[in-house]
Order: sequence, then C-alpha cells, then structure tokens
Amino acid sequence: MNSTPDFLHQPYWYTMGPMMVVAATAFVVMILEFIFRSGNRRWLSGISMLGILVALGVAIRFDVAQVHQAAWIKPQLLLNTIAVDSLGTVFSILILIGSFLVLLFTFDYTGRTKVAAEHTYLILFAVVGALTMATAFDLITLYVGLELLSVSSYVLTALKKKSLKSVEGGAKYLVMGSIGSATLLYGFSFIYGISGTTNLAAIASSAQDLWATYPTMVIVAFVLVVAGLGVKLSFVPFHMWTPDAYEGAPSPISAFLATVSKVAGFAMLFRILVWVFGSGSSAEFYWIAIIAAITMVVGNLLALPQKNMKRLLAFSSVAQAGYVVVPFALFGFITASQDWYGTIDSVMFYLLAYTFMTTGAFAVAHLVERDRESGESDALIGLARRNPWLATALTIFLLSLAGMPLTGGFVGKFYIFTETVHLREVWLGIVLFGTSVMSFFYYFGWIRKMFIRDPSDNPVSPKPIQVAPAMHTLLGLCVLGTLVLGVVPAAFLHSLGQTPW
Amino acid sequence: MGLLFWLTVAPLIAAILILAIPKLPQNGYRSIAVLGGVASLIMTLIAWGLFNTGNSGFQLQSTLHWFSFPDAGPASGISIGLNFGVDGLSLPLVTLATVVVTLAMLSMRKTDRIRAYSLWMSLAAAAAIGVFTALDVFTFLVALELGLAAMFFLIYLFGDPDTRVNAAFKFLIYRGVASVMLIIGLLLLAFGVVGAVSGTQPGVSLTSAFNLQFPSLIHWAQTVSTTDFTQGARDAIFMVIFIGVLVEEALVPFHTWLPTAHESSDTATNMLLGGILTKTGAYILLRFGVGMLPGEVRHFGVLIAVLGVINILYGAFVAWHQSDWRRLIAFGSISHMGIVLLGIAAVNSAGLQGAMFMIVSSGLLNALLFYTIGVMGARTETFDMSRLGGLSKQMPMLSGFLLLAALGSLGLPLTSGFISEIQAFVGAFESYPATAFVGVLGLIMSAVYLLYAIQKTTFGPAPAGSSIGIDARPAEYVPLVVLAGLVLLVGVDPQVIGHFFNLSVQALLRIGG
Repeated sequence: MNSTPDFLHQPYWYTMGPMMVVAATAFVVMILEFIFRSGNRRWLSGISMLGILVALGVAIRFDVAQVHQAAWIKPQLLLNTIAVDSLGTVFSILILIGSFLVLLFTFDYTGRTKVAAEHTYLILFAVVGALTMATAFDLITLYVGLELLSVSSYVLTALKKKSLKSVEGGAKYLVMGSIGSATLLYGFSFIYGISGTTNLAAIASSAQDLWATYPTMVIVAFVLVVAGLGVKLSFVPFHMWTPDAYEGAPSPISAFLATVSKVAGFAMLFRILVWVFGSGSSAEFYWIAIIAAITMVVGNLLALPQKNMKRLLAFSSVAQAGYVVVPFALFGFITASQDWYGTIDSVMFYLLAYTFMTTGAFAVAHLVERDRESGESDALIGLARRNPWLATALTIFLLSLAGMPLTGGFVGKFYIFTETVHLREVWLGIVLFGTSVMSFFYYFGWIRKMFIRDPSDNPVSPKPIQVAPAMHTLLGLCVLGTLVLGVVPAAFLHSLGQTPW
Repeated sequence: MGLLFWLTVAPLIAAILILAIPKLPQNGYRSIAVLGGVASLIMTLIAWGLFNTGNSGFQLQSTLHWFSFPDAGPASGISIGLNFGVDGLSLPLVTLATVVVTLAMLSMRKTDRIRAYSLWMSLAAAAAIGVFTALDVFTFLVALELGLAAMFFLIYLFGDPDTRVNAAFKFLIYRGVASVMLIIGLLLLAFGVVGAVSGTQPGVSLTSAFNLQFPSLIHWAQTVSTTDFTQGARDAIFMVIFIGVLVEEALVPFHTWLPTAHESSDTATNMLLGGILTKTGAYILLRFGVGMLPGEVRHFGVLIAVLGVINILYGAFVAWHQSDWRRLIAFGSISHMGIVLLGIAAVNSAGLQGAMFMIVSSGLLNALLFYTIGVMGARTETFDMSRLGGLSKQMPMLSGFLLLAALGSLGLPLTSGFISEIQAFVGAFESYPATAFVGVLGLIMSAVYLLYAIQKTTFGPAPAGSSIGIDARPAEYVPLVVLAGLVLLVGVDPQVIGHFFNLSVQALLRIGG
C-alpha cells in the first residue's frame, strides 16, 4: 500500500498545484524582501523563476487521460470553483512560460536599474491571478483572479515612481482598468440576476432557457462583459490606455502586460463566451467578429505612424490580439463538435508563438533603449553593426510578427486562416492577411533602420551594446521558440492534437 | 528524402553554413553560396537524366511528412508535407532557376557585406527553386514568402543608395499583396475541390486525410461535381488567384513596382528578379489555373487574352520611351509576359507550349540582358542611353552579346524568342484571332525599341568625356556564354526543352477538354 494520502493522487492537484506553488513562492519572496532590505537582491528573482519552473513542471505533469472526456461542459470541479480540464491546464502552461520569460527579463533589469524591488513578488501575485483566470469555473472566482492580476499590474506599471511617464501610464491604466472591471462586474450581476447562480456549469445548463426567456438581459450582459474584458485585452475601441501604459512601464512589465496578462484575459473570455453565451444564437458572435476586424485594422493603422519603440509594440500587440480574437468569433459558427478542437488549437498555437516573439521584441527594444538612452525607433539605426546578434534576433521576431514563413507567426496565422475557411467566415481571414500586409510597413521599417549605418559610430569598431547573460538566455529562448514553432510546428501542434478539450 | 529535396535545400544549407561559420575571408562566403547553387545545378542535370518524358504526371517525388494541423479542415486534420516533385511543366523552370541562380551568385559584386549578400542570395535561391519544385500548397507558399523577404533584403541592402528604400518597400507591398491573395486563393481552392466551400460536408469522399498536395488536389478537382463546387465559387476563387498572379507578374495595371525594383537593384539581384521571380506568376497560372480550374481559364479567356495584348502593347510602347536600360528591360519583360498570358488564354496545345517556351526564353534573355548591361554599367558608370554610345568599338564582345540578347528578345529566328512568339501566336490566332492580330503589333514595336536602344548604345560616336572601358574579362565570359548558348540552343532545337513539357501540356488540355 502506498503510504501517501490518497488525495495527493487526485488529478485535481495538477490544476490547482501550479497556482499554489506560485502563491507560496510569492509569499516567501515577499517575506525575504522584508528581511534582506539592502544589497544585490537579484537572487530573489532567481527564487521566483525556480518557483515558476516547479509550477510549470506540475502543470505539464497533468495527465489529460485522467480527465473524463465527456464532461466538457461540466468538467470535474475542485471545491466547486476550479475546473480540472485540459483547457485550464494548457492556458496555465502558456501563462507560466510567459511569466518565466518575464522574470528572466527582470533578472537583468533589477541588477541595473534603480527600481522598487517589490516588483518580483508583485509579478508572482499577478501570475496567481492569471492562473486563477485560466482555471476558475465560477464568475466570482474569475473576477477575483482578474482583480488580483489587475491591481498588481497597476502598481507594476507605475513602479518607476521618478518617471512621469511611468506614473502617467499607471494612472491611466488604473482608471481605465477599474472602469473595465466595474463594467465586467455589472455584466456579471445581470448573469447572476437571471440565472440565480455564479457557477459556470449551472449557467451553461440553463443558458438555452435564459436565452429564450430573457433575451434582452442576456444581450445587455454580453455587451457589458465584452466591453469589460475588451479593456483588459485592449480591443479597439477599448485600447486607449495601452500605448501609454506600455511606454511608461518598466520594459519587463510592458512585456508582461502584452503576453501573460493577455493570455489570461483570453482564457477568461473563452470561459465566459463559451459557457455563458455559447448556447444562444450565433448572432452575438458577429459582434465579436466585427470587434476582431476593427481591432486588426485600427491596431495596424495606428501602429504605422508610431516613432517610439514601445508604443509601436503596444499597437502591434493590439493588432496581434485582433488576430487571436478571430477564432473566438468563429465559436459562434461551429456546428460539428470536432470543430471546437481545431479552433482551440489555433488559439493556443498562436498565443504561444505570440508570447515568444513579443517578449523577445520588448527585450531587444529595452536593450537598445538603455544603450542609446532613447526610446525612439531611430535608436535602432546602426544596430546591425553594433551588435549583429541583437539585430538578428529582432529581425526574427519582427519577421514572425509580420507572418513570414519558417517562424511561428506564419504557421499560427495560416492555422487561424484555415479555420476561417473551414467555418465559412473567409472574410475574417481576408482581413487577417490583408492587415498583415499593412503591418509590413512598420515591421520592415524597423528592420530597415537596423541596417542603416550610423554616422556617429566609429566605422571600424562601433561601440558594442552590453548584454547580460540573463538577457542572452532570454533572447536565445525566444529565438528558439519562434523558430521551432515555425520550422517544426509539430513540436507543439502534436501535443495539441492529442489534448482532449 | 530524395533528389528534389536536396536540390531545393542545397542553397538553404549553404545559407545555414554562411550564418554558422564566423570570420571567413570575403571570398569564402561567396564560394559557399556558389557551391550551394552548383550543387542544385548538378542535381538538376541528374534529374534530367532520371526524368521519364513518356509520363505526364509528377515524377521524382520526395515525400516527407512535415506536420499536421490537428482537427482542422473538413476531415479532422490537415496533413502538411515537405513534398517535392517535378512534371514536364516544372522541370524546365527548375532548370532555368538553378542556372540563373548559380550565374547570379557568380555575378555578386564586391562589397564589404559579402556575407550578408551571400546569405540573402542563397535564401532567395532556395525560395526561387522551391516555388517550382514544391508539391504541397503549404511548402509552395513558404517558398513564395521566403522569396519575398529575401528579395526585400537584397534590394534594400545592396541596391542603389538613393532609390533603394522606395524600391524595396514598393516591392514588399506589391508582392506582399500578391502573396496574400495567393494564400487566400489557393487555400480556398484546396477546400473547394473537396467540396468544402460550397457545400457543408465534403462532396468528395476523402479516403485519406485531407491534404494540400498537388496530385491530390488535381485528382479531387477532376472528380468534384459542380453542385459540390459551384460555378460561382470557382469563378470567385479563380479571380482571386488571377489578380494575385497579375500583381506577382507585374502586369498592367499592377506593374509599377517592377521597373522601380530593377532600376534600384544591382546586377545579381536583377538577374534573379528578372530571370526567375517574375516567372513564378505564369507558373502559378499554368499549375493552378489551367491545371485545376481549366473551365475558368476558358470562361475568362477573352479577359485574359485582352489583358495579355494590353500588356504586350503597353510594355513595348513604354519601353520605347525609356532612357535607362534597366527600365527598358523591365518593360520588355512585361511585354513578354503579355505574350505568355495570350498563349495561356488560348488553352490549346500551341498556345500553352508557346507560353512555356516564352517563360523559359524570357527568363534566359532577361538574365543575359541584365548581366551584360550590368557589366557595361560597371565600366561606364551609367545605364542612361543618352550618355552611352560607341560601345562596339570599346567593348566589341559585350556589345555582341547585348545585340544577341536584344535580337532574341525581339524574336529573331534561331533564338529562343522566335519559337516562343510563333507558338504563342499560332495558338492565340486559333482561339482569339482578332485579339491576337492586335497583339502582333507588339512584335513590330519590340523590334523598334530594342534596335533603337542598341543603335544608341553600341554605335555612333562615344559621348565626350566618357571613359575608355575594357571588354569582358575571362571570368565574365562564363555567364555570357552559358546564357547566350542556352538562348541559341533552345532557338535552334526547341525540342531540347519542348519534349519535356509536350506531354504535360497535352495532359493539361485533356483536363480542360
């Protein structure tokens, strides 16, 4: 007989385990932060990364075979609030990968920049919130997760308290984000009002009746929820805070907002759209499709005139979010149950590729900004000579964001496009690829700048940019991830195909 | 992994080596790139030997499962193969590509950025070859987009400092739009031929997993019924692909990027662009248009033929008024591609064969013209005809090759241009006599602009103050003799390449019949 208690063998812990590991690490780091108040505290980042890696290990060990496949709408629940399903687990894995990259980013940042050291555990608490959004199965818990993520993010954005831009960005994000949260909560109150429950499974089973009985209320709730989450995911027209927050925030935090925070937002959007609104008519999904189209077009248009690197990446991430919403809009047009699999796979694949390429682009932008003391994209001039490795890495990230082949971005876009063809909403796919051509202007514009010779540089041996080992590791991982997803996409697609959603 | 796999990836391997090996002497990187090209060329010759001309299907196939999009498409999962193969249509074009690629690599100019030059050249070469060898829509599109990115870098990094930014971005946006239209069109076509665009369920019973391989698509295209793949859907998909091809080929009214790109690029890039990359569109029209939507090619035949004639006349007319040789060649190329359109529109044996001859001939002649003009331009430091003259005295051999290339372009007998124009027009007169009659005027005009340009450049007095140039150096004879030799070989004995595609053309016509 095994001496360990039986409950440790429950698959539940693989879903909730990562959350607990990260939360425990966060508390430990917070306490250590109070004890060791001086000196180099980079090792705290090290502990945080270790915690994330352990959580990642626990999440990957989650054995999908133990999940009852038929229980899609009503998965096994832990404490009646946390869903034990592959959807939550895969979203958690994406969040943890993104968080690891961001922490690696801060590892270098902490050592060089005088920034409040609290950011390490704040990021960890934000990750706990993100993981909650991915796995929670109850409106209240989802909202608590969102608030945990948001409140930590507000503080993180304004962390450079001496910098006016950082404070301004934080304040804008706080105001807009709070309005978004409030709107979302207002929407939740309607859902609770008509269904009498906050549990997603219970709502899902009565959703058909609700649509028939209270159509107006459901529409009102739908509009409020999408607007509320739209602020967090910076869909157009709820994107106003994005450029200011991304520009002002410390670079690792900008990367965090663009990747981890968005992945978590998409996880929550998925739960609510499918479980609360999925069983109604597909009419409201047309609105998601229209939001996707507007986000793609406006995000790319607004990115065109940007001169500041992080502002451009902010608008680029708005546009990229538009690409990911396309499969969400397709949910409304699914007739055969197997079509769910393909659309979910395409979301997951694109989000992973997006995490690698966006984090990498922010990292290079950060290094260049620090070296040149200018965040303008003109600071990139001469990069190909000053540091060919940084230029190569950034070229790969930008080519991937633009959707060039042999990178994850191309495979991801192609996958999403095949879904739009398959589900007969080709026009969304056409907008997707059409706006990609628009994005060539600014992505290739950056690439162009890197290859211009900087007249102020020494022509023989230009001053190289100092890159710390941690940043080399980060860039190496991001390049590897972007290229592996493009050259051997099976590395991730195969496991996605095996996952029962 | 067979011969064609290695043939296609040889330049790619060269590119990886160039990236991986640090600190080689200047010529080291160039040699790696050239070796990659030569390896492809040798394998192409082996492929000639192995090719069975009595078989109209795809041969020498090398299949390799790449990955699958799980749970996507009409039959749970799309299998993507890194598949390569050739038939009679693609083998001559693969040969053209490997020959031009190798010669272009030999003509890379000396620069302190030879490593980057060799790298992008090798990538562009792999893409250019891959477009013709690919046997899977996904692989094909990867090659197409890779070529787009690599050519952007070639034009931008090594082009004329004053105009390269404009030219590179114009190229990127036009070809980018073309690629996007082709992605959309080809994927819709793939879904369409299994009946998954018009109907809700696949109309064709899928015995194997849904895939994007050419042989499967051709097979499905022949079996799908008109209720599963309606006329309206076919028309719409064909138009998307056709407009993509027009942009890709730089045909009127989407042609403005080509003269700008040629004018701003250096010789090796121009050989690649004029010799191969402007021929991919015609190949796409043959492969996917005539090969999979033959009914639509007939249906829109008048439109295609009229567009062809417009291009023949417009290209020739505008070429007449150019003073820059590179712009003249660009417009001449547009005129040639008009003849290809006319030949394809005819959808008969003579027309399609003429189109094939013209694609190969125009590729060879463009490469030869750009090379000769590039060498002359390096000596005289200008491409402007008004500042050139009397070159036949200073550079008799180069002037001779230029004259040969020009005569080939205007379709003199015993050059490759002759058989191309004759065949294409014979085909066109059969199907669209009136339109073809107007098109013939273009032949007269091409004689006018080419001879006018030759007369200005090589004869007459040299302009005052022009430097004395030297004639071709021994190393420069390699591209000149190879290209000129091929032009004459095809002209004297067209069956050298003709017997490769005769049967494939007949097979295409059976589909259409």
